[in-house]
Amino acid sequence: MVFKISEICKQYGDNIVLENITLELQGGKVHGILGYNGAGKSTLGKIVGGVIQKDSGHMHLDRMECSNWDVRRAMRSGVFIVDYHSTLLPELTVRENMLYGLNSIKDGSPLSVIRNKKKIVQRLKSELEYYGLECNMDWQISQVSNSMRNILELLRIKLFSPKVVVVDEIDANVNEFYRDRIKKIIRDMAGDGVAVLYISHQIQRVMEISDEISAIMDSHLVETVKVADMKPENVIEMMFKITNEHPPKTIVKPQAKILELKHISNNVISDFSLYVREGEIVGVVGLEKEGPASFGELLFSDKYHPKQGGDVLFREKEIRLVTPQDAMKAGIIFLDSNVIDQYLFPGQTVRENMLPFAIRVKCRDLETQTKICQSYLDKLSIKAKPEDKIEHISTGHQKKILIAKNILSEGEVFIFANPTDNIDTVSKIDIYNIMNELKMRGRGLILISNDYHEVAGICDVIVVVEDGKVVRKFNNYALHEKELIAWSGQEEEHDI
Amino acid sequence: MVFQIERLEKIKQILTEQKSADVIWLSSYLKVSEVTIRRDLEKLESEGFLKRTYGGAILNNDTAGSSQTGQAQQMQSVVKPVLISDSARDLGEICLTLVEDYDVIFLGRGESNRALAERLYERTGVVVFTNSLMVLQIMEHDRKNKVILTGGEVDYVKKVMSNSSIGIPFPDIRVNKAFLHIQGADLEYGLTVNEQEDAWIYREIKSKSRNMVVIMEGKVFDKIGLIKVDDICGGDYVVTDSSIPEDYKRCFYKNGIRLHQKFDL
Repeated sequence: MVFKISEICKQYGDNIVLENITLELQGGKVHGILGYNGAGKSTLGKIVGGVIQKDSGHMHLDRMECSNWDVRRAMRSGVFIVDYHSTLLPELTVRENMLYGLNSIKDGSPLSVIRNKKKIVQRLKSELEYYGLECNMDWQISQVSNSMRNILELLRIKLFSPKVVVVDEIDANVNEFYRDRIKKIIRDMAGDGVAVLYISHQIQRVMEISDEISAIMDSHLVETVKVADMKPENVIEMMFKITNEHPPKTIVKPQAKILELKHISNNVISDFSLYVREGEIVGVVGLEKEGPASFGELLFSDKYHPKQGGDVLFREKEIRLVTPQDAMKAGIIFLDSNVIDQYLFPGQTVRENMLPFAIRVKCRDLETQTKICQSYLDKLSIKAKPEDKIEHISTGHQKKILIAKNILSEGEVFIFANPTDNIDTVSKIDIYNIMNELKMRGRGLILISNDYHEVAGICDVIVVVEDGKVVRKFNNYALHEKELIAWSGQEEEHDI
Repeated sequence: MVFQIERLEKIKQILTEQKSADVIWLSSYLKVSEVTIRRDLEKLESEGFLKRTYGGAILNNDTAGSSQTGQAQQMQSVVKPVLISDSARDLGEICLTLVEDYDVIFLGRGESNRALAERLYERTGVVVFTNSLMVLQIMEHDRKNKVILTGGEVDYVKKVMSNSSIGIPFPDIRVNKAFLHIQGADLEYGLTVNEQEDAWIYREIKSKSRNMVVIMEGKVFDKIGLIKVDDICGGDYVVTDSSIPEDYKRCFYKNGIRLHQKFDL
């Protein structure tokens, strides 16, 4: 099965959104579309799904021309689209939504329709069970989370033996659990012979899920590559082609070494070495999903995570860290954003979460605490009040509150793991600038992230880990990424 | 000593007498953590009182009462030293993190540029192209970097040299980065300044500079000056403080501008 897109053009007035887009979707493959926000990815997806009309160009489903293409025609031909705005009706239940409009797709006698309905609900239930999802058929959709709604839509589509499925940005702000499920569902659909068009602006995500990737930039299709053939260099190159966003990079002359890991081995990584100096940001990419945990294992040693070798040095003196509390006492702050809920106390206020216990004991009066809290809310541009409940604050702001808490603890080394996952643009820039400020103030920072763009944008030294080994380590002190040729080449170390 | 201000005074005293001190000694003498001492030293360094070294600090002889030559004294009578505000100092500090060794930069008028000039001793081999008499004066004691003037008619009130009125062509020099202030930044009306000479300088330097670093103090947002010099996203870098409104932040970042904001931690 092949879905051919030829020379598609779309413009709104003077604004050319898509120009001569040509690509082929093959059954059984996931085709990822990358591009920064506003590049035209969604427009393309909507044209394929019949939601909007193209201005010119052709689409062919297995040699059949898709003429007078609208959503109804598309669905009847087996082309479906799911995007972040769920089309499920909030007032109806899950069951009612799943069966809604069934008659317009499958015709038959009333009895067969009823039997069909029963079958469909049955199949849906077994799909939900298969993916480990809990969903009561009688829940009202308005009570169901957005991620779950998207998943239900995907499962519903699966039941209709689709040929082409367009998935548009449905896992941008979704937690690990649902992200995994969505990935599995999509890959299973491909396994069943469906051609999936997967649209996202998150490079890592697209690379994880797709077989092939195309990038759209300035209304053109820039290139198409097979994911299996891509190396980190290609990722970076592609990224700089498609994204316009530049993390703010600064130049600070690093001073003394603060933290050093020398030839650490454990059962995940062999021979890991890095050091971070005052006024420096060291980035580590490729530490997988176990990222923060892996780094924790490199840093801490106890009977559950025995180290097979290597030393940890703080200001040139050997230290042994067993717990995160030891690290904090030594001045090493470990911030893992993806388990942010482990660090925050739900049910308590912003003030109670932000001020470390030590400070709250020293100044017991509410007024002083509120003043300190408010000053940090202002300093870090956090839109919240000291007495707000922490659950009501956006993720981006929660992360900043964590940072505030740790700054108040006077750390010398800050280890950030995935700090900008799932947060809004403004908070993202703020966190970059806060990191730069810490860097300027002589702190050492370690950034563990799988966002290549972020790491290449903001770090002074980059360590690349692959298959449990450090494969490359090099400098990135230049201000402009155009000077990042070092990425594909020589190994250097901390050379300033 | 719990209060920083007391400690700072004490540290100043110690350094004036002993010329140098190390962190460990200061930490036990003042009975605070080493981290705290480092913070204090940072503060005093940013005020120009001392220079931090590995493990400690030394008195900064450049600003702490240096002897002056006759020429310098003459300069002094022309250009009186002016105190730099904290906010300008902050912005200048961020600008410093954008200057590399051996960079070629243009510094326009403005307090932040003066603050930046004061910190350029932390770089080597920088060529500073400027129209500001204040920057000229500040750079006088800096032997590691070079200063080139734009030339033109001297305006003793504004402390600049200006070319536009006198018809002297702007020197044909290329720079890597130009640091300029503006008086208005509006999403619709773009970047604006209030004086003809500033507008002229902006346009001239933009055509000669690889990168434009636009310094935006909080008060410029949503303001419209008299003369438009550029579109709102016409710069390559924006250096600003915490008063930047969110929609401007988003606009800059999404349009490929490197946004540097001061966070006072």
